[in-house]
Amino acid sequence: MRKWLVLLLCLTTFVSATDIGTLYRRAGEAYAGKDYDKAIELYREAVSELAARGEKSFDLLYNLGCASFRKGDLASARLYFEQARRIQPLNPSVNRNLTVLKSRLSDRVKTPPVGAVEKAYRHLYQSVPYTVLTGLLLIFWVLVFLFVGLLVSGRFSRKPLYYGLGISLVFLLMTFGLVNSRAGELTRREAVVFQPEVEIFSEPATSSSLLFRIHSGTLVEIEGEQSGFVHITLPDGMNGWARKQSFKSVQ
Amino acid sequence: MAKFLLPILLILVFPLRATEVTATVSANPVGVEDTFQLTINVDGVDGDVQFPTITSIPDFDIVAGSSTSHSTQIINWKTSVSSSKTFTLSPKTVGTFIIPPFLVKVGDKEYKTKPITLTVKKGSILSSRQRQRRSSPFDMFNDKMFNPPAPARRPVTADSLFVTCELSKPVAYVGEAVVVSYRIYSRVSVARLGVREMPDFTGFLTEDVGQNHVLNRKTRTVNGVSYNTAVIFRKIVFPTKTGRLPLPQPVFGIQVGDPYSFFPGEPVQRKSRPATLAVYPLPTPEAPGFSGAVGRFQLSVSFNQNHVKMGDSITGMVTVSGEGDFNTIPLMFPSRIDGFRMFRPSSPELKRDPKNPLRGEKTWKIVLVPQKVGTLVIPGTKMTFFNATSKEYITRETEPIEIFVEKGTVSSVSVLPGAGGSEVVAVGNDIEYIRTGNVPGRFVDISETSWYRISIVSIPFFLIFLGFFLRWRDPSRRDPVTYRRTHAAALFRNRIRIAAKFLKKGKGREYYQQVSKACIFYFSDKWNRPMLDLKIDEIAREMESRNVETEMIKAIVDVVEYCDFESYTPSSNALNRDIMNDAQTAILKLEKVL
Repeated sequence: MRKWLVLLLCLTTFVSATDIGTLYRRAGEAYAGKDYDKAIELYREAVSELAARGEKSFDLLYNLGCASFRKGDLASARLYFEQARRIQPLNPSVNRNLTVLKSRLSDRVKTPPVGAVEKAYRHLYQSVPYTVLTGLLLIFWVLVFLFVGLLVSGRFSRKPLYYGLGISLVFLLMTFGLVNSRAGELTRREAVVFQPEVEIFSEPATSSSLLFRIHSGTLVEIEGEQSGFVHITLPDGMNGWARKQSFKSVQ
Repeated sequence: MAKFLLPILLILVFPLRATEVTATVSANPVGVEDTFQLTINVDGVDGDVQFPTITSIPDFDIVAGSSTSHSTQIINWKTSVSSSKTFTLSPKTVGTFIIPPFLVKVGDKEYKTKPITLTVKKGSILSSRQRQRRSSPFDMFNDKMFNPPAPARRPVTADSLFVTCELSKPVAYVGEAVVVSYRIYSRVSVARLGVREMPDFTGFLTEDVGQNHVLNRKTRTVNGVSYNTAVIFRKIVFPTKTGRLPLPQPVFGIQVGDPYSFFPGEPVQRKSRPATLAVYPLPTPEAPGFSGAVGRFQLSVSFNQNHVKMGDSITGMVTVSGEGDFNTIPLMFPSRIDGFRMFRPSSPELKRDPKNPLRGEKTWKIVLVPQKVGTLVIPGTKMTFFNATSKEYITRETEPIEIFVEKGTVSSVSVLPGAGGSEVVAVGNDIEYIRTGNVPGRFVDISETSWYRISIVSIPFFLIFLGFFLRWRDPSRRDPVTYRRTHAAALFRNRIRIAAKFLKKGKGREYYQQVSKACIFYFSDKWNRPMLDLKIDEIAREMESRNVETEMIKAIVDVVEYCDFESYTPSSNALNRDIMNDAQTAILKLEKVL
């Protein structure tokens, strides 16, 4: 009975993987044939299937962004490219595509310059895959408590154990810092404007002062939410309140 | 009484001024080469004035304007404002024309001006004083050298100052290059000169000719009259259609007067005299290979070396020189040559002769890399053009060139980067293509998985529990003898710590006794011998029997004997801190041996 259950589980996983692969290939064919609507539909189906299992795919999100761009839906393209960039922040293709996309948006938002140290640190934690970082964190966490346990046992020479514990602690703290920074990027509350023009007010009410306007495809950071309004901030520091339904969250 | 009557009488005597709208011209008749002012004037304004928006007037060109002026007057204790709008016009042809009425809105009422009948005569008939006094915002030239000897106050007539359009030839073929020169003739001093209006060269392709900022003055005699003359600017024109093609007549703004005077000279305007070019079609049928070039040309091809090693590059120059339209001449060179790798030719470089702008030289640079050893032949090349002088199609052809290629020292092709061709320039931007493959890569955030979280929380508890479990299961801790033997050094350190406390309190006797006891107890624990049975002599003998080095035995014996001696007969009040360190060092060494 148990053998049958295991076989059934393996078969289910295999069939599911095949389905996503089929969808991926068919969507690619539709894209090559310039049937972007069909390609978007198939890519979205594949993304939904993966999301149901708690997984994401850089390839799917990237291709979805390309198809949306070709269709002329720049806001959706920005959303998918940003989602893909969260998975692989240093991927040159997605960064190039985002540059091209930004050049075609109405809004030109200035990004404040980043210092050399911050840039190097950011490059460090972005260049290591998040899965590797979280795996390393677990390994150093285990090592620290392994050394503690061995010290507690009193069976082994203490000196090498103390050294091992110290080194493991240092690496644990370093990895924790990198994971924390990367996780902060992954969970940052960002959103893309999905309406042609969005008015930004000084307070969460349309009766307040109009501060500025942003347009479709612009990326904003969400800092708060109140009575149907969200508090948004642009990279250059301009901020205000806008209606929540004008945005789609990058997650 | 008179004080009160006077203002009343004044009000009665002077009637209220009514609004009056008029259109006037500064001169009538005018010459076809003259310019004059059309002024729409509104007197007695009692509200907002809205002048008509005039962009064109039939039979006239609007050369400048409009300019608006306002003046305010107080009449009969009532403020009245006069407004006027002025245009500078230039007639297009000779004849009698009517300037149409204009509608002006003053306040809520509309007024219409009367039409003006204007006679336009041949040439220029206005004296300089009748022309407008305007400063030119478009002056291109500031020719202080162009200062003829004629007196500054001489009246400026049409004959004393005019501009002509001169052609290098009156008749040309389609595509043939003709130099058009606009030349000023003057018998008065010219302080400044500028182009005020530049019409399009309809029916021609044009090419600018570089010129000096300062005009080159000459003296010429026209109809027995001596003029100072200079070319204002030149263009090379290439007719694109047949027939009698009129050349455009630019309007020049000229400031007459002493160029060194503090006061500005008198401004006048001159339209270039008309000129036409008779254009004939090219004879048919066209010769094979004819690209449209008209003129007289020479073709040459040369290379920087004839002997070359394989892999090394040679540079060739394709040169077309002569007179005519160089723009229509494409590169006359094969796109592929057998035995050579050919780089993209450089962009052509055209050099015009400054003395004769029709003459020039167009060159292309070509880089070739031989791909095989032996005598390679670069075939001859040819070009066909129409010679307007001999009125026939001519083909020029170059001889084939032999290149002797030797075996090179390197097998790979070596060319200096950028030796040939031009820099790659992006002409557009677009997103990259989608990612392809059979299965998309997947990303799982393992930190969000339950097994990761369970591991993070449970592993510390498990490992610490394991530590305690191992400690509990440690056989040495269950057997006191084994425990004492394996932990003799640790027990020694604990006893030494007690000795250190005695030392800190200044209890000399207890300190020395504790150090001595710690040493003896170490051996008691190590060898499982009762403490009372162990004396230092016996310990020394035991160590000797265990082949411990004499120095180590002596060290521990010295420490114990010194401590025993000092505990009973202290030699001084100062406590020996070093003896504790010596004991620790000796036991540490023994621990490795025993």
